[in-house]
Amino acid sequence: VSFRIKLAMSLLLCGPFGCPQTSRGAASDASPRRRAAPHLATTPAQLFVPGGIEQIQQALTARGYLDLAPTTRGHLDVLTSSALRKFQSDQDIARTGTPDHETVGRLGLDPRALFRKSEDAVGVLDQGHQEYVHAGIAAANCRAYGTNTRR
Amino acid sequence: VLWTVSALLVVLVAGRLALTLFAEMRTRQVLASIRGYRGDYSDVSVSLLRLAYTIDGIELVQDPEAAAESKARPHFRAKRIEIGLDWREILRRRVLVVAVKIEEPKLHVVIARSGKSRRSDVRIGEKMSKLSPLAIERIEIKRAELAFADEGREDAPALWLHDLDAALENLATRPWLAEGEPAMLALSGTLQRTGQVSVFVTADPFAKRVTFSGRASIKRLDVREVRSFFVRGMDLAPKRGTIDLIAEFHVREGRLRGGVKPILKDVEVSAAKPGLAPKLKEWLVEAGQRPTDRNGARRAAAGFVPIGGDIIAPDADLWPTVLRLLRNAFTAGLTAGLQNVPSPAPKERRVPQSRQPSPRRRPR
Repeated sequence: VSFRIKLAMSLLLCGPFGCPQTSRGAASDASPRRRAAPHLATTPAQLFVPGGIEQIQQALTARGYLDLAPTTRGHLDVLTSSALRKFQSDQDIARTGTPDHETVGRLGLDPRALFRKSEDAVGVLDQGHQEYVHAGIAAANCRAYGTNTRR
Repeated sequence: VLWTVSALLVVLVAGRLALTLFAEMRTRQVLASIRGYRGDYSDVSVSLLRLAYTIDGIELVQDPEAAAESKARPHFRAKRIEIGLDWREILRRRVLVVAVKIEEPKLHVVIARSGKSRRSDVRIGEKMSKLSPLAIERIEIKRAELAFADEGREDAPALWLHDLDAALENLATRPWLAEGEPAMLALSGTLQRTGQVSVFVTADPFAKRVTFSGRASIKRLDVREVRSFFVRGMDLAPKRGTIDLIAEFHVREGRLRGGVKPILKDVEVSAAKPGLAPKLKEWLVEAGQRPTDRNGARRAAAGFVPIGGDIIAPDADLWPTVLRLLRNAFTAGLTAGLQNVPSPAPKERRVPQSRQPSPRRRPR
């Protein structure tokens, strides 16, 4: 209930786009202890959850872009990359041969489910959004009362 | 009803016209405000339905005065740039989510003989956290062209990357907008006339200093197209053959570690200068690839060259540093490839039938 009240207040005071430029918001977002460092990869396959590449291969096969028989299942091999490039060309998107979010989405798969996230990403996401709303309220209060929240 | 619809149409058309005029005015202001550059464009339009801004025929040229002073002289033009906002995300999360499409951009960079290098501040994460919450969902580049020329070194060849398609995804100004995923760049194109280039990079834009990992490869590059690298590095002139270069790199807080693997195939060289040393190198390269099997196929020479160091020194200029790094990695790989004399090819070992892996089950 309190979150809804804060959301309503921030909408009322800050308008639909919020008031993101506050010292509190910027400082808390930049704080390294809150942040879950993302998983860096040297190959596209490392970005996916187990079984993710296989789902992409199946989606490409279902659309007639890939013959599963000669491919290495679950690996982003040359044949799968070529099939991806052909699919991207037909979809008029950048032909990189890499399964990015846009390509995965156009294959009818959910990129949010397929791409790996850092462990506490969901927590950070919720916390960040709530802080964003808090920041909007703080900025609006500053403007209303002519005070400064910067410590 | 007819009157209402007509009035609505008039309002929409008038709104679009007003927005386009406003966009044109702002575009001219922004282009005029870019210090040291002259900007021009052929057309600007705004779409209310897609919440998109499009600029056609954009061109950025450095002012003659600024060009004379600076070390790197870039020249940019693009057929079309489209910047779109996702209105669903604005309503749902109150966040600006942007998608950018750039069609046929051309960037030519000339590294001048003289001029001042500008210090690059590479504390990207700190800079980004000062911006408004914004997520760049995707920057898509199609049919791009990049050309580098170094006036300071006569023996350095002009590098020409073309038919480039690239996608940069998940670039946000707040960690929570990135949803726990790294920023990702995938690129594919052609180097010179024959080399097939592929680059994949993931980056953490919120790290204090530059942090990224990735892999880059150049395949089937005709050695004659990089003649000056051979001449400068080894005093050899290539006659025929191809080279593959595969590089893997990890940069943590500005510190680079990784390696380059060059694979030379059917390379024939001749001494570029008179003297015993170039002749000896020519002989070594020839001996290293001499055919050993019955059909006379030449062997491929391969090796692994570790690379490392500070990718961005605190007082470095970004463009020349990146260019120097690429050139050094390429030269190191090439030189190592030429110096590497492979051992005789081992006989092919056949795995006994009983030890062969069982065939994979195919899906029904």
